[in-house]
Amino acid sequence: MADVILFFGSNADTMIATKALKDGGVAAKMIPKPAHVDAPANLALSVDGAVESTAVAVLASANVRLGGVVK
Amino acid sequence: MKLGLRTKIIGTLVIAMIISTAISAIAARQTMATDLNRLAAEQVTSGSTGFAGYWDAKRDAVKLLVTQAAIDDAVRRDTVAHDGAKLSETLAGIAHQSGLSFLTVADAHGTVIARANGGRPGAKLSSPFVARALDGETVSTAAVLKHDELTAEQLVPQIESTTSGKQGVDDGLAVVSATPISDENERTIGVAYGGIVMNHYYDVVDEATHALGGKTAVFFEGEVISSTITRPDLTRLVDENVAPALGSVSQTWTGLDTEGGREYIARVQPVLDDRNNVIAEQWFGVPLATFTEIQSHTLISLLLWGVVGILIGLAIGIPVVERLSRQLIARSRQVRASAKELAVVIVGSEVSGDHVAQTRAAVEREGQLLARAVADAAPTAQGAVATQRNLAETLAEATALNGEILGDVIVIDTLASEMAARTAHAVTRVNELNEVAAGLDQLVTGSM
Repeated sequence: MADVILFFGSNADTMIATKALKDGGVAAKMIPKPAHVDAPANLALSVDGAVESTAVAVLASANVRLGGVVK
Repeated sequence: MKLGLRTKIIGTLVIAMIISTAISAIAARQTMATDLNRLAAEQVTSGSTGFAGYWDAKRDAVKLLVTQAAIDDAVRRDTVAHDGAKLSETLAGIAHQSGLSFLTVADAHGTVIARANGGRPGAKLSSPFVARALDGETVSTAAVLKHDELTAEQLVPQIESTTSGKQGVDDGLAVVSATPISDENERTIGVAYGGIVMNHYYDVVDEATHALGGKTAVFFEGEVISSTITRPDLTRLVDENVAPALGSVSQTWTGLDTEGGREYIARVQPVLDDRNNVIAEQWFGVPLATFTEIQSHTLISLLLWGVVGILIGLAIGIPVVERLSRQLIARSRQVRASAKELAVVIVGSEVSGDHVAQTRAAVEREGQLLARAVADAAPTAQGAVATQRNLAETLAEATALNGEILGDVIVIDTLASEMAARTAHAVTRVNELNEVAAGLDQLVTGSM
């Protein structure tokens, strides 16, 4: 399944989200924010579309505020 | 149940003040109970002694009155003349004026010449006091007047019970005196014998009560024969049975006693006759409520003032606790913000490290692809066409990987910039934490 891009309110949140997903067992790769994504942070996370819901749940349980998801 | 700091501090303050007030009230009550008990014991002892004084004064007054009658010229003259009619009239006048219950004159043989109450003359007085007086002794004492003696003196109505259907006592209690009557040559020509029957006689108890406070009573043959104690209907308590233990007290007794439906701290002391036999009891009591009401009133006052103290304490304490809480909340927010900032730095370090490791792996993979491309470009046994296809695939893969590495480098660059900024913030935050620590220290110790 194609990757989805998760973006956040700040680079700090992106870093925290990366750590939270790693701890939650969800593979995520930090990437530069794609040009077509409108977000304040310069960084975003790329995760496999198959684990999107898991990733969102992990972030929610870790109290990391998700800025949005781009598919 | 989780309680906030504010609730805990104020709750502790309130509980401490309540405990303090309660302990003060209990201590005050205990102290007061001890002191009031001692005061009560002193008061009843003092009152009882005073009552005995009034009793003795009455006995001395009887002695004086009888002695005055014995030396009265008219009495002496009529005694010598055995003029019963005139003597009876004289004795009646003296008894009436002096308040004696009876006054009798007998001759040198103890035979009655005249009685103040008009009783029949001619009988022989059987009282041992008369015999002693005829021997020249002046006798003054409390005594039991037997029923026949009371009958002769027409005093039976005075001892009869005023309570309907109640028989009352058979004998009478009296303060009596017997004095010899002498002629001009100091020879005993007769005896004056008089006294006051104490049954239903209230002068002594009333005087003692007016002067001493409390309540007084005289017990005789297990009954109240005179008292200032009031019943619930406010009538005078008399002709009632006393507690069996108090009906025959041989020595002074102090304790709680209920009379007329009311509890008293009482002192009972025996009334002795001239031979030191116990013939009656004097009772003096102070209503227990006098003391218990003081205790209750003081206790209630203490508790009320305690509540006022608690309210004042809360009025003073709550703003202090509020201020303290606000300061602690502010410090807590500072610490939380600093901790979050520092946590980002720590997480960022870890994430950066992971990303660098990923990038390094990608670079190594890129190197391997490039090495394979070089190998694919060399002549092989399978032929040049196959080599050309492999080379193109390898280069395409290398190009994609290169794009990924470029992205990773951008990420690393961004992370580096972010971490630099965060590290700078972290230094500021550490300084803030030091300030927070100093602030908390000052808050706790009060030191500047």
